[in-house]
Amino acid sequence: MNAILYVIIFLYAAGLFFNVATVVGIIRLPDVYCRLHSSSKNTTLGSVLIILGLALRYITAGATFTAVKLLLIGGIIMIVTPIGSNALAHSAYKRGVPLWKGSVCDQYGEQQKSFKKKGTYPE
Amino acid sequence: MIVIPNMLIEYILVIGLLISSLPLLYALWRGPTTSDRALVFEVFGTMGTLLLAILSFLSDRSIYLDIALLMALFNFVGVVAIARYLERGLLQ
Repeated sequence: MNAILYVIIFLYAAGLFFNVATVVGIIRLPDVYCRLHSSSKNTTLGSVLIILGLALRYITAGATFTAVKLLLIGGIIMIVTPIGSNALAHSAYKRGVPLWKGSVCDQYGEQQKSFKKKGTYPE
Repeated sequence: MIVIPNMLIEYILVIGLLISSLPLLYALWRGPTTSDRALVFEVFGTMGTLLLAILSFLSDRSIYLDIALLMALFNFVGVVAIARYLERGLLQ
């Protein structure tokens, strides 16, 4: 019983750490793309860790079906957050949001340029 | 052997999440482009989902979990709609 409580505290602490890392990244990083890099991965991992901790808490409280519902929420967050971030990054690039001056490579732009040279436009 | 009161860790978690979501308001105010603001909106939605899930444990009502599920799904739909609008405009 007590060991499970320690596991739950560890999961909560890790999830809170990743959420705080998300906020620090969004405040400190210079660019939309860098902020997306910070937010998508850290938010996904932190949310899933906290939801796993809550599911363990529900299981020790004796409600297994509710824990299954929580795991469903965790799976949905794991699928949905990277897709939304990908769509945001794509739309920001297509809209012409400038890259940070210190960026070293832009592979998507180079690929589009080479496609333009060949004359084919795969969407 | 540490004796922990019943729901203390959840309260600490909620306070930590709320305090850590305060600087996001500053990012929402500052964000130079609209894409930054949409990004902060997405993070707010995920944090709201988490807070609803914790609230369902604290108040012992599992009906809040359905609202958390819907909030995750509608957050995704909203972010994709904003991204599509920013990319292609209102028509098409």
